[in-house]
Amino acid sequence: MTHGVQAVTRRDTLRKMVRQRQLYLMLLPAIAAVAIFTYAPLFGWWMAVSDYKIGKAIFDAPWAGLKYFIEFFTDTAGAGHVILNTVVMNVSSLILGLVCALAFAVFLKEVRWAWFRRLVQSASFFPYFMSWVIIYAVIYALFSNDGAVNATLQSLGLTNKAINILGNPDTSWGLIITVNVWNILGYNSVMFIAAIAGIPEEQYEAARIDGATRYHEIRHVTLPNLVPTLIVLLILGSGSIFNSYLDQFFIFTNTLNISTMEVFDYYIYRFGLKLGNFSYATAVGVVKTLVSLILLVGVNWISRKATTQSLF
Amino acid sequence: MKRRLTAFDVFNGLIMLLITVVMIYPFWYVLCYSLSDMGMTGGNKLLIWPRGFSFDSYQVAFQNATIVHGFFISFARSVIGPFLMLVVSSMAAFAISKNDLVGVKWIRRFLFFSMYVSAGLLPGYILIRMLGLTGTFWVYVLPGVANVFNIVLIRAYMATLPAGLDESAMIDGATYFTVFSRIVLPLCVPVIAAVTLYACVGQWNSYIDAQLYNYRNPELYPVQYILYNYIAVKAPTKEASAASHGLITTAHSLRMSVTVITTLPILLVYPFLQKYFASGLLVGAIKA
Repeated sequence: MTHGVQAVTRRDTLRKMVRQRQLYLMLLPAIAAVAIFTYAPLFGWWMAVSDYKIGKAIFDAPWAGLKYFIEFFTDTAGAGHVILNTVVMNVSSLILGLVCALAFAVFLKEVRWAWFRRLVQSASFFPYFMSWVIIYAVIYALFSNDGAVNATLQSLGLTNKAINILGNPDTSWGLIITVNVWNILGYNSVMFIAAIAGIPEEQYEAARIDGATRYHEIRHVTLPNLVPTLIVLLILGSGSIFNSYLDQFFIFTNTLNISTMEVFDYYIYRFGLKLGNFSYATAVGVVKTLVSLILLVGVNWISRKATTQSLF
Repeated sequence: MKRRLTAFDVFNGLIMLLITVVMIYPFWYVLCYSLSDMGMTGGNKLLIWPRGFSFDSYQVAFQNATIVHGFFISFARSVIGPFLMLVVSSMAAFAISKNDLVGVKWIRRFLFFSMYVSAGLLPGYILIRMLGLTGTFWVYVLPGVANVFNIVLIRAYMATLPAGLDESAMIDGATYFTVFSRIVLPLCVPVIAAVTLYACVGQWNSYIDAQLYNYRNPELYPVQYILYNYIAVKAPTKEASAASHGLITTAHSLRMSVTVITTLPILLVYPFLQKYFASGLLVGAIKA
């Protein structure tokens, strides 16, 4: 009896699937592309636990155990500075980027003239849409040894030697953090501006009736309303503390500043594609991905417990 | 309730003006330099207006076949890439927006989970080589055709459309595909515009894929990669400073004009970018 019911349900399901065949067809390209370009490369993680040689089939490579992972955490002199560089630059960029964007959004709201508000917001977006090549070209034009800023400072007699910030180990972190905050300001502030627009006007009116000044309005109405947005963006960002844009670092890293500029993604590129050590570089990539995933889930969990704000 | 103009308003306005200048001036400087008369730009100081006026460096850029070809490649990838992405991603978004699709929960999980995993640079590199995409134009566009983030955005937008819309059409005998292409897609213009523009900018701005997969094929260099090579040649190393001065000056303004030309297409779509980008980002934020 139960068998009969099950058979009927299954037949119904099948009939339904046949009826929905066009939907499956429409899904097919996306599923195939995700399977090929996102999931299939995961098999490449085999390289991390085997001695892979370039040009050979991946699964012919002999088992190497955790050799390359141990090498990363113990032997290689280069690993420590890579972790430090990545974390310092990303954490600072994330926090400063969000705090500046929050402040920007708050003060932008206080601007009285709507046209000026629109103009400033349009301008704040601009660097975000530029490629890293363009950004570097522009920064190079201004700040290189023979760039405009140095030339101007020298002609005014403020310095006699060019100040080098693009190829100087002492300025890498500051340079990247500044550039990142500048680049992302408009993008980050969109979220805050939207959150501010969502604050009910009654809250401000109530505050004014209680005699609130503009400072009080910012402090007790605007800011508290932005905290949830800030937390969500912080959680989102925490998952990419170990990720950098190769586009960016490929161009900002040079032989002079590599000691303080090299990040995980550049390190993986250098060891894998430049030095040909695929197995080692893949192992580093695996560590990076797993730590990122754990971090995202962990921060999300803590945030859910502590503030009830979470992504999933 | 209108308030008096206070010192705070003036101060705040000045700060905002400063931010605007910081955002725009670096690009403005490059524009001024590129338009300056090369003979007159002895010693490059900060400019607020071109010194002299000449299109020479632009003429040099447009006479350079490599650069012109690079623009052609960049345009091609910025049109073909977003188009393919749009077809693949919007169809998928429509399908997973149907809650009664058999197995839709698993399909959604399969797609969404991919946003949180990445095998990394090298497994990706090996895959591209195994697929034979190295040294082809397709390496620029195919890996991005199924953009799951965009699928999520489009689906979120579709969820805001009135539900009865496609059901009545289906009763009238329309197929899923007709409903999608004739009814749903035209209503999704704002989100479609947002993801398309974003994809165009992404394609226009990419260069690292050319470095990774096509550096042996100069005929496939996008303009960003050509510009990268101009800059990389003059990386801030000791060797570069030793290069002859006259050569640098010419190369310098050429670099500036190519930078400006490369920025122009973004500038042209900028008003639209701004309009749709913010709204698209917010749909995503609400979704997240």
